[in-house]
Amino acid sequence: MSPSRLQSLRRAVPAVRAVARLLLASVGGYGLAVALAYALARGLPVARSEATVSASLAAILAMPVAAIWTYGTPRLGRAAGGILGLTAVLAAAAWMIGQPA
Amino acid sequence: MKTGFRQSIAGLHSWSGLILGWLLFAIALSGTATVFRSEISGWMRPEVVATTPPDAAIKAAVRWLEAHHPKAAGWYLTAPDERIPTTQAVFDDAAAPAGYRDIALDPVSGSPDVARATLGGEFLYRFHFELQLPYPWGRYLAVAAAMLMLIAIVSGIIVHKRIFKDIFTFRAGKGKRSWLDAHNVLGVLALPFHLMITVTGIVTLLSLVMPWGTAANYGEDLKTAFAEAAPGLVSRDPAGRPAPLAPIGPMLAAAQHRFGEGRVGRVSIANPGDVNAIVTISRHDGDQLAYAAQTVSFDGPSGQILKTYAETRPAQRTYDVLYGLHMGRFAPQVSRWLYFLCGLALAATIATGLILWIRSRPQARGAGPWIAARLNVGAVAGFPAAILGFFYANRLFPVDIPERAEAEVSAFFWVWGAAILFAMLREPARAWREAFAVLAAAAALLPVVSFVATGRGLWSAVIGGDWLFAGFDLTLFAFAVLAAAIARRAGVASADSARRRGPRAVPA
Repeated sequence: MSPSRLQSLRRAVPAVRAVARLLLASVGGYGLAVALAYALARGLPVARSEATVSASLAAILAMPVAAIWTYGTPRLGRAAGGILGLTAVLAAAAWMIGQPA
Repeated sequence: MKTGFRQSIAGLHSWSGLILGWLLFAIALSGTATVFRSEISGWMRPEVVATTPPDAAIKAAVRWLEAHHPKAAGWYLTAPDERIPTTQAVFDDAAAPAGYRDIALDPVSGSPDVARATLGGEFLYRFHFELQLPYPWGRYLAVAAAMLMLIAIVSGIIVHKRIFKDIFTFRAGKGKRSWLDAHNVLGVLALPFHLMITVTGIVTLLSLVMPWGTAANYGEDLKTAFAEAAPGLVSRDPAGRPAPLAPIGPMLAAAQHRFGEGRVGRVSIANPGDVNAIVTISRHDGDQLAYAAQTVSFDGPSGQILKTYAETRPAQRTYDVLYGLHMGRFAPQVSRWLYFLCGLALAATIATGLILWIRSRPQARGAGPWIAARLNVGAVAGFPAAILGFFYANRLFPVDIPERAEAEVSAFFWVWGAAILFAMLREPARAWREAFAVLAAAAALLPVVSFVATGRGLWSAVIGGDWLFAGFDLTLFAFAVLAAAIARRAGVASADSARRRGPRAVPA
């Protein structure tokens, strides 16, 4: 690879990282909120309809928290690990509990 | 990494605010106007002067609907109260441009033809969350804007070092510093309101933005989900066999008896004229913080009570209260004005934030900042201008033109579009000055035009104790003064910055 191409690639890295962070905060943040809604709706020890409302209300707050945490964490890898990891844990919990009959 | 953190969050704050900022300004201002939805509707229908008790008005409305729209799938009525004399009726109508009608019915005759055809305050209310876009896209866009707003508010708090001190800090005539002070004062002063109204705004569209809790527990079975979420609502499909509706008066009396101190608020009649008709009467929203807390349902043909329900489940009640907080229908006069003033502060926080975005990038060149600087003027001056255009159209359009209500709405969008176009063609500093001068003149002249068109002026309103008309005119004068002050300040500020930075400066 020629030095000039390498240089232009290196210049492109910040842009790629910026887009990745944006996607992590928006799509990742929403994904985390969805997983939280699923897990709480199924996991909260109250009546099904009550759990549903509580879970939805909590989930809409998860999104801005996730977005701000993503931007507040200097290392992109750590931010991604946190958001995606927590989403996976919540999704697994929701899946294990299963849809109430 | 401390500075890195603050910088990153500051970046999040300014970009999340900018991306839908112009739309957020329109949402905030239309929502602020909606605080006085009933009063705006009353002002826009100057012909309606008679009032009746709510139950008589509902009876008249049902009589008119039975005669003119018997085939509708449902009639949704809001009873008149001390704020508005007309009954608001929403029902499906294939002949209407929107597929449904949202009209005000005269309290005595039940007919919509007594007053000029107008959407009144309902237009601003619907625009606030539907943005005149087809369902559900307007609502999706509105909730996305609200989410960005919430992110902007929270990140704004984080980057803010001295919340309390800033309430008392305003340094005038110092260019960007003054805009920042203004942004901080307006943002911090009503911060609890800004947070509350943004979060509860998202809550009003909860089932749209976060349907996944329901999906997790009910899968595809939305019927069960709905039945469990709102057990007070009886619903059944039409049987296809006609049956006349029992008299509504005794049903209203029975519901009133159960509400005790509370008033009758909304009356919805599903499957009217069918053997499976259901009449659901809800308590007035103004009687409690929670929205739609108590309902009584009746079998339409017999008038027998099917179900009475008052919400007591904690989570559902929390949701109802959050919803009610956003609607602000519970608010008595003083709190309603507080909602209005805080809403204005929120709109001004957004506007000053948009201006700061440009001011903080004086070196920025290219199409983006060029358009942003001009869109700021177009959006911030254009939206109030559009609302005034809507009011002017109400007074100036002939009463008997076809689809008159829609024509008023068109006037609104023509003015908004014209303002944005004007801003695109003009140098921003001059555009600020000129647009706000026009706004001031338009606001100050509207009471005069209204007096000429309707014969109801400020003087006779004050003498006659007509606080709706008097209040409307006085509020317009207050806006004229505010707009004139902004026009003057905008002139001074741009002259300042031109002197300091020389002729090549990019003005806000």
